[in-house]
Amino acid sequence: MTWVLEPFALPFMQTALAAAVLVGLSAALLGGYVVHRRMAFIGDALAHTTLPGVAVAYLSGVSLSVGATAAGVFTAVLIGWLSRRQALREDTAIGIVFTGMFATGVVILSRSGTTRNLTDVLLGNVLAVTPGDLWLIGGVTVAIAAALLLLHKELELASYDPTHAAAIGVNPDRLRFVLLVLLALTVVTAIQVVGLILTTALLVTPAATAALVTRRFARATAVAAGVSVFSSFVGLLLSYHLRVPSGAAIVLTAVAAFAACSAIVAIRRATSAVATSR
Amino acid sequence: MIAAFHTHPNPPLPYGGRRHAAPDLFAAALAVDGLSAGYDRRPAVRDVSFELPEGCLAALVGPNGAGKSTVLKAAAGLLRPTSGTVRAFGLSPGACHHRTAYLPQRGDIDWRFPVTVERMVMGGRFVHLGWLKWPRRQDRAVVGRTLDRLGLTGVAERPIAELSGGQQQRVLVARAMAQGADLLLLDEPFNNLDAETRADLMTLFAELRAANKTLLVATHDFDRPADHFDFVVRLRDGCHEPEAVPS
Repeated sequence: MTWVLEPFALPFMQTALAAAVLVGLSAALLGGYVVHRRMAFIGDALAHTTLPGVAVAYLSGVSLSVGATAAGVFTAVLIGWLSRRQALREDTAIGIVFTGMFATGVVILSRSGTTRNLTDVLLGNVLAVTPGDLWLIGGVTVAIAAALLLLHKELELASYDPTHAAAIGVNPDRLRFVLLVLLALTVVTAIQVVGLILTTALLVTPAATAALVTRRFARATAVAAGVSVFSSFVGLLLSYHLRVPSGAAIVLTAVAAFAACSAIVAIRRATSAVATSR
Repeated sequence: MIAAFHTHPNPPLPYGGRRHAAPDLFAAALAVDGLSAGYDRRPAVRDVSFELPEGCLAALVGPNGAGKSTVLKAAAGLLRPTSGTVRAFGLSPGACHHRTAYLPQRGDIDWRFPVTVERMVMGGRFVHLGWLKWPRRQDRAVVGRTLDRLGLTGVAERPIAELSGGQQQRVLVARAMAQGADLLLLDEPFNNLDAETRADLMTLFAELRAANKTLLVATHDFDRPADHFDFVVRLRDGCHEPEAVPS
């Protein structure tokens, strides 16, 4: 028991746990849409495009979260606009925007002569989250939960039947844009916890695990939130005891949960197939 | 765009039930007059005119690419005409979209999305609810009755991913009925259905007509559509072939 409780007696571990759980929750809430609308690539792209924002913020002494948010929202707007015009296929547009922005970030950071912060941005450092960051993360989580709750019926409808949505006066392009902005906000907070390279895992893995267990959207969201909270807690614990990076530990815990669920579902199917064949 | 907006006597209404315009009781269910419409300024249909009275079952026929979907979309208010007018119950499409249901081709819907049949049919109530409103008890009652009437109660709790093609089409009709739509615009409902399922669907359509609903069905599945429908609107290369007369 002390093995479990002792690490969380430390104040920085408490802050880290709160941050990881809050970020995990907002990512899990959005994850259902990301997985079922096949937006995983765009989530990854949004994470990468925050780099120049972070770099500029770092060099000019502004809060890194502000820089990342600005860059993330800018990308969401740009991709939404490009895909609306359909001048380019959407995945092509994403590919160009995301690599272009990421390369800009690398150039800015290399000119600044420091790469120490780059590691934190790429791999995350949840132990460095300050109480001020925690307020921001909490605000984002509440905003995302509220937006998804209030817009749920329209977002769901526009996801599987955009034509019907448009016919009754709900603009699916606008809802998609709302989702992109929410995604950008989540990604920005997730970068502090797991780093921008692993951010997609928080969006996709818990939601994919939930999709194995249930076919109902609301239930799946609850399961995904559970997987997220579990991964944050166990991941931080493992990171503390095994001295491995916390972001990677959280992601690996989520992946392990996914693997375990896949195995259980496969075994159940096999046994029920045997039972029916008899 | 702005000029086109102002030529509409009834500009499209916002989402939600509070401001639906009152219908013109003596108008045709659907009146299409000199309609030209298309995508990116390339007209898909040119100068199409026809009128459907209330309570009729009409076919919109023509080969692939003849512009059937374009006519339906213009009638549903999904596509703004480049010229000509569309009136449903005497109003522009946006002003009576609660009475008009567009049933997309089944391929336009992501059937793998995790919603149940009941939840999808509830989508028909949204036009009456609008933003920030949850389905109420009476909405659930309407959905329950509709599912019952269409024989879908047994699959109400099933994910839409598990439905057959015929069931998918019935669910789309159920949603239009839950909406309380009086004009149903159906895009290729018979596609990829076997003969028996098609016959079931035709029976259902006849029942709807008996309930004074108006159905316009885009199809290329009948050799002699005039044997099955009250009206046949025939399109070829975006133009209305004039020999179409009430059968």
